[in-house]
Amino acid sequence: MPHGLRTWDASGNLIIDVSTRLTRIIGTQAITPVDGSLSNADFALGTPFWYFTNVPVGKATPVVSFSGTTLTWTWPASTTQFPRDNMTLVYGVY
Amino acid sequence: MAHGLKIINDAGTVQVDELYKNMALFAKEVSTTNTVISAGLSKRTFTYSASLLVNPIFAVRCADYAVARATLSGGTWTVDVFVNDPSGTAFTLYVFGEPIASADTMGFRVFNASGGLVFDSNLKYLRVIDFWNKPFQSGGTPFETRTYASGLTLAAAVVNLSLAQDASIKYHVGLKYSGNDMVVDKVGYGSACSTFGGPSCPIYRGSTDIMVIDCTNY
Repeated sequence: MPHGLRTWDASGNLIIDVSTRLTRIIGTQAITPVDGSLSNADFALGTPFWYFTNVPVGKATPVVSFSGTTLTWTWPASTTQFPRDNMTLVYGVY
Repeated sequence: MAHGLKIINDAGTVQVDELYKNMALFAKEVSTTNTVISAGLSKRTFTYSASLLVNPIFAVRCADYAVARATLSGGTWTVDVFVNDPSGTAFTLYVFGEPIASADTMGFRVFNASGGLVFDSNLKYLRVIDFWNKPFQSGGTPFETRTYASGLTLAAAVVNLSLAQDASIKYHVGLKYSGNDMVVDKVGYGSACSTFGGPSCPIYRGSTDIMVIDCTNY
């Protein structure tokens, strides 16, 4: 028998099925204008994804890469058109 | 002794446990562009209170190439939805952020050991189905097409808005839906090279990161 969670909205539409692999946020990271990395074993639970938020207008964003369960952010060269600044990185798996 | 709730499905994947966390749908805007930017490019602007909308992500569903750009100033998020079509083009903007407990009095909720709400069946959670990096591409149109399962309502969030410049046009990457496909191409700003960097006209070759979200029944 299939097992797992199944939910519907108020209109009866199926929102989560037993086969659904739910997206999961693992954490957030305050990013400063220097390169950095973080490791989290939960990256092994699925396929990693991420996004930046709170990015000031006209500022550059780092390049993000993964190796195993380590996420690394690397800033491009700072220019007058695209300087670095603080921002927030949200990361998870799907 | 370990205690709490853990729901595991047929595939052995933990769907929900007391450590679950996800962004949830904050707003859905079924709208049209209303401001002309340049020939063949238009936009519409939305604002949201940052006291309610935390760590947001903005995804657009449109039949022509579209992208959402968000800025935070003071206590307000301002989101511009740009579409490669004239004013009046229809699109849907999906806004996800930190979950806010629903007002519903029925359904299923999971709390963590600290009493914090970690899952509410009345919320519509972020459902990422694809995520990839699109390197800078010069020429060729469209840049890329990806095909997904039928019957899904898909929206795309461009999560790293690196600016690129190809010949004299600076642009961001945007996406459109076409049947079961999500198609990637430029959303142009149409600015002349001379207005962006002076006579030396620097060429930007930013790559872009793209998230495709299943918004079916949202």
